[in-house]
Amino acid sequence: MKKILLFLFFMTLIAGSSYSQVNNSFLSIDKSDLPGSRIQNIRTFNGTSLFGYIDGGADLYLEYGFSSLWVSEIILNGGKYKTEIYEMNGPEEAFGIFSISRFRCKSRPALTPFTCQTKYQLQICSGPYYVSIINSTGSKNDSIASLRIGEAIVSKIENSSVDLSGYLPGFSKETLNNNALLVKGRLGINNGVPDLYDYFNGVTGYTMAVLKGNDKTTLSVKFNNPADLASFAEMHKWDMEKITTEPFKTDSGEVVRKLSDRHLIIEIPQ
Amino acid sequence: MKKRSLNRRKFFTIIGAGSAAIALRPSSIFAAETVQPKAKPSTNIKDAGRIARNSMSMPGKYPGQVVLITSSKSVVDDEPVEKEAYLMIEKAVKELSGQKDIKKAWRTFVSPGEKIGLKVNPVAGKLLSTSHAVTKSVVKQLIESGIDKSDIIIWDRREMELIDTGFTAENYPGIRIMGTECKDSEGSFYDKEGKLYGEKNIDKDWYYWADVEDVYDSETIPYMINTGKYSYFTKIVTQELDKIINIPILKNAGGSITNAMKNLAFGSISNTGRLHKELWNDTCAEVCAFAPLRDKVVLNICDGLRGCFNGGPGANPQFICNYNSILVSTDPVAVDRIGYDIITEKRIAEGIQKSANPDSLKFLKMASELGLGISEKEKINLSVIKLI
Repeated sequence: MKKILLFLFFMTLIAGSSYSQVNNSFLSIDKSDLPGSRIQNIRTFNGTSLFGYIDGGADLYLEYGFSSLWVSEIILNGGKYKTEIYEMNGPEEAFGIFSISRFRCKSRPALTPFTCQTKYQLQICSGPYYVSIINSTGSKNDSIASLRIGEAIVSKIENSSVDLSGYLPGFSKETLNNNALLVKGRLGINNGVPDLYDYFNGVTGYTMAVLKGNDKTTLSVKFNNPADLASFAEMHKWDMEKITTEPFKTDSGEVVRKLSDRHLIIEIPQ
Repeated sequence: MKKRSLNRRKFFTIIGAGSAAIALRPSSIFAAETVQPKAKPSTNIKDAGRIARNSMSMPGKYPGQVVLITSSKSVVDDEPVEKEAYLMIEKAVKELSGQKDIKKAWRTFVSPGEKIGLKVNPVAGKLLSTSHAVTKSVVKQLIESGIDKSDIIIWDRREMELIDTGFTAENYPGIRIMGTECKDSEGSFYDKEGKLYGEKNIDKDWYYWADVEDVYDSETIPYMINTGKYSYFTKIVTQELDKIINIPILKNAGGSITNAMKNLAFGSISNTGRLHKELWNDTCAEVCAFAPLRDKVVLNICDGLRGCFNGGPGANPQFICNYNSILVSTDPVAVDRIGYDIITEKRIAEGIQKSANPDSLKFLKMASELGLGISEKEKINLSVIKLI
């Protein structure tokens, strides 16, 4: 009996430690990175503890692949800036969140190839990080201060950023960086390209880059394996024999071609 | 359950038996299920119907009636204006109740001596919280209609978020501010015995059982309170309050909305992380069907002065907009249905989507089938008041 109890005790310990395996290293900044600033109300979140920060909103980050979050209020030049540094599981995941969160960028400061500034927010994607800096007045001073904070954060990131050219060959880097969306599942679709909800309803095991144009929307779908691609084709009642590297027009009007046994390019006319 | 006919112990016995039967199903049944196409996880929703409804049960006194009031003066420089919010709420409550006198109008829903909870939504932080303009207006009108300050409680799931967004004793003198999940003055979620403060605030006699669970790490547990297949109702709704006035904020959740139903459902129970993925629609509808919410929510005042059309339920400033609107209804389903149209129209105008997706209304259809309100647009009686 004692042995059984001991065994159960150790199993509980092992299980407990595996539940607690969380990322405890956070990319952050302090006063030395940003002279003249005061950094307060620092909070950190790991894994599913993101529910404690944004509750239902956490699901979207978790679907993409979330690692950790550092949040603070930075006081700089008399302004207050809510600064969030999300570490995602990789550059694609970070770009994914960035891509569906940006909207009508007022400017694209050259901090990184993926920077979007609007009146109240500076958004940056660099390496596996998505950074959001929110101000409350929308003034020019706030824009300048946000950029200083952004620079301080970006200077600490050494990882390389996402390269979208593999998704959509033939498009310029600028077009892709400024306009492409990247989604990994149902919530990404819901938030980034809701009109494709039915088109991907029930589909799993893919990462997709989307580029909306004036006359068509181009989808680049990388499936986890050839079987997932085949299921998707079957769902849309496409004849797999006709899906080759050459463009094929389906009965419903899309133009489909295969880049590999797990990668489709689909053009949907507007 | 003060002043209520509900017998919690009796109810617990009933639902306990039902759920135990589900929980104790032989493992072979589960094994058989694994080879079948994935079925939706079952829940204890049938237990909710075992408590008799009363005259105030959802959808309340005025099923399917919604008042939408708008004013261009309600938001100035992106700040909600309390004076205008007060006027809008006054007119809308009078319109809904059919009373000319505001005191009589409020007394249609609440009475002196009752403990009245205002369920706000601070989850997205200062940028996108239920506004103080609306909340303070409701408090003022309650007091003016004879409700004692000490009987009003502003509540939500997390005390920390209430404080962060300004729902404090300083801003609301004499009003109690309560959250289910809370920290002590040293910032700890745990008391000296190592027990979560939140655990003391959940009522294990009342629960939403669902055949789905998630593993939470040590950092997540304080925000979930418990693991497993049970989500317990907060004592705020089961024990503290007699009536609830629901004050959500008009936000999108993907192509759907997070408004009256979601604010109540996910704001009143523990262990919600497990429910978002497979049972979001079910939870929004079914949790509201349990007596502590179904029989206590007397009014929904949807704060649409400022809201968002994308990026919700979080706050992304570029998606926050001024709807300059307040929606008032006793029927949370109908108010959500009208709110859905407002958000969808904005999303289409902003180029987020081209058309409405009927799938987004699933939780409302489910709620309607549970008798909680009217989800069909054509059956909703919408009164529109435009102030300016």
